[in-house]
Amino acid sequence: MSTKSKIIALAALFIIILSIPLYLIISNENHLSNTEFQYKFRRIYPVDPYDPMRGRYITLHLFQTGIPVLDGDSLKRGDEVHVVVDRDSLGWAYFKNAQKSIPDVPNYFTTKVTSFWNDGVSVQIPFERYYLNEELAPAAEKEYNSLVRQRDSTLYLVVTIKDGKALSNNLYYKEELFIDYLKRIEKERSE
Amino acid sequence: MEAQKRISEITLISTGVLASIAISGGIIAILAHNWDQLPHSVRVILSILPVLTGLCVFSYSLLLKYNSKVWMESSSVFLMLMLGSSIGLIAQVYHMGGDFGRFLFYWMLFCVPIIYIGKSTSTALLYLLGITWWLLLNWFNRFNFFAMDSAMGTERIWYWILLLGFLPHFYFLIRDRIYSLRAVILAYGLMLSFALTSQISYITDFYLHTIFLYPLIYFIGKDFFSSNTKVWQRPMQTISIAYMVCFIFWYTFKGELHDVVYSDNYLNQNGFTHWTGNYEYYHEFLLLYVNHILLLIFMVGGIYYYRKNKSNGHIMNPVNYLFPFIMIGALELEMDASNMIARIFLNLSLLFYVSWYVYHGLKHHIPSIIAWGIFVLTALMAYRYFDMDISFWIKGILYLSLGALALLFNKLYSDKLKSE
Repeated sequence: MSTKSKIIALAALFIIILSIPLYLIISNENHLSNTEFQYKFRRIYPVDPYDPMRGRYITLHLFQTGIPVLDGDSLKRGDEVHVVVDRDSLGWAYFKNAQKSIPDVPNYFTTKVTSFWNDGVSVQIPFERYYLNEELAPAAEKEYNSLVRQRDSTLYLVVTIKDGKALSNNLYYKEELFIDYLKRIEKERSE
Repeated sequence: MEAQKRISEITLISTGVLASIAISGGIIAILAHNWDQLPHSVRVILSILPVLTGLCVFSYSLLLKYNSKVWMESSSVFLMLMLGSSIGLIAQVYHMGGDFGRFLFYWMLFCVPIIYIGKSTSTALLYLLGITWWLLLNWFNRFNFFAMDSAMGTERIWYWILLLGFLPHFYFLIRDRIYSLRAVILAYGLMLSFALTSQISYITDFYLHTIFLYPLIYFIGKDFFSSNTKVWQRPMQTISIAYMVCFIFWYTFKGELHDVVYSDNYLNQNGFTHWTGNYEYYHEFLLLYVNHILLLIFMVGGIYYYRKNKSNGHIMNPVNYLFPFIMIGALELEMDASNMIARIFLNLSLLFYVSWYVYHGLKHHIPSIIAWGIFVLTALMAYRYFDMDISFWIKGILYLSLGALALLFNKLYSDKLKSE
């Protein structure tokens, strides 16, 4: 391989390899800048698993009743589906409906059906992971039981949802960042 | 001297690659700790740092150490793992969803150029491991063992599309038909991957694809690896032969062929609709075509390499090259006659298979194929003893006769050896 070929190959490799992390960073930053499309989800139940490449995270199980399916759509498990979200009178987000065709409104995310029954479907939640510092993750798990008991707005997740994509902004506990809350109670316990 | 040089080189490459994996693992683990006390912008920059480091090390190898296999192999593996680390860290910083399977898919896809620019066998092997792992994860998710994910649907065929990233590298290594340890290692990797995935990697029922895939592998192995002198140096032949025997063997069990015919969509209420497709999305139709083209490639490739082997004068056991017809014949018998007749047909095929190996082993003085033939016969006899639903006295006479025949053969053969 001549030096010229090596440099051309390297330039191509730089472009290909760097394209994926740069694309992810730019598209995610753009997405999160849409503050008007932030939705607050409550009634979430965290558990603490582990990812070998991405570290510890908590899985945020959203309480899902059947999401109504748009008239005429028949959905089965594994189907791609677009879920429209909206806010109720108190400002909490909820899943308005699920449909096969791309909605006319921008406030939807795209996912897959995990189960279905007569009056609705449940879907795979694409913003169910919240990554935490490995020392805080066990503390989050410790809080699990008390968090489950507090059913309403004590723990909520803010998600930016627009044009099929959904990304978590932050997780809050009683208006305080969940991470800060965990750090605070850990500190209080150690004192 | 040459052998010593080769051993030293293999040792250096292995330890170099091992060091790359260990260092990468360390970097990934340290960054996966999640340094949330750092500002968001710093974490974003940190997340891209591993891949930049990988690219710098790789560039140094390519520009200044191109002739060193140790440097090229190690830096390619390092870059591959650092790319994974960066994608993982970005997912961590932005709390991106998606399971490990999806993460693996994109990671592997972007690693393909590294294999070719670095001419790296270790990267190719890791790539093969990655795509196999991806398919298996998807398959497990289908049953919700590990995660709540979608049903696999048409996605599984992507395994074969991703395999295209590996095959040209493999071909460059085997095309000269000269023994190469790299080619043998990759062939083992490929065969292991096929053994793990060949029953789950098609959109339609696996049966037809599988019975045409393995003869093709056997013929390709015959064509490219025949110059290798030892059995372990010919993985494509040995593993495809073993797989085909196991496949026939499996369907000699009561009811297994029945399940293929009636439960796996061949003749049930769905008929052949899954072959023509019943999908609502265009990309699913495209993937269905890939599935069918794949079957066509297995068939046409099989015929091409069979003819090539024949014209090169390679001797082949007829059961190995008639394998698809035997299995289709068994299916036909299952549908038009009965399960019993289909199973007798498969048992007779195996008996013929064994006889051919024993005969050729004796004729050409190759103990390994005699041993293989006897091993298959022993397994067949042992299993049939337990599952043959006939009267005990008939079974007794049958096995006594077989024993007498074996003793007679033993006597005649030892007499022949003495007379020589």
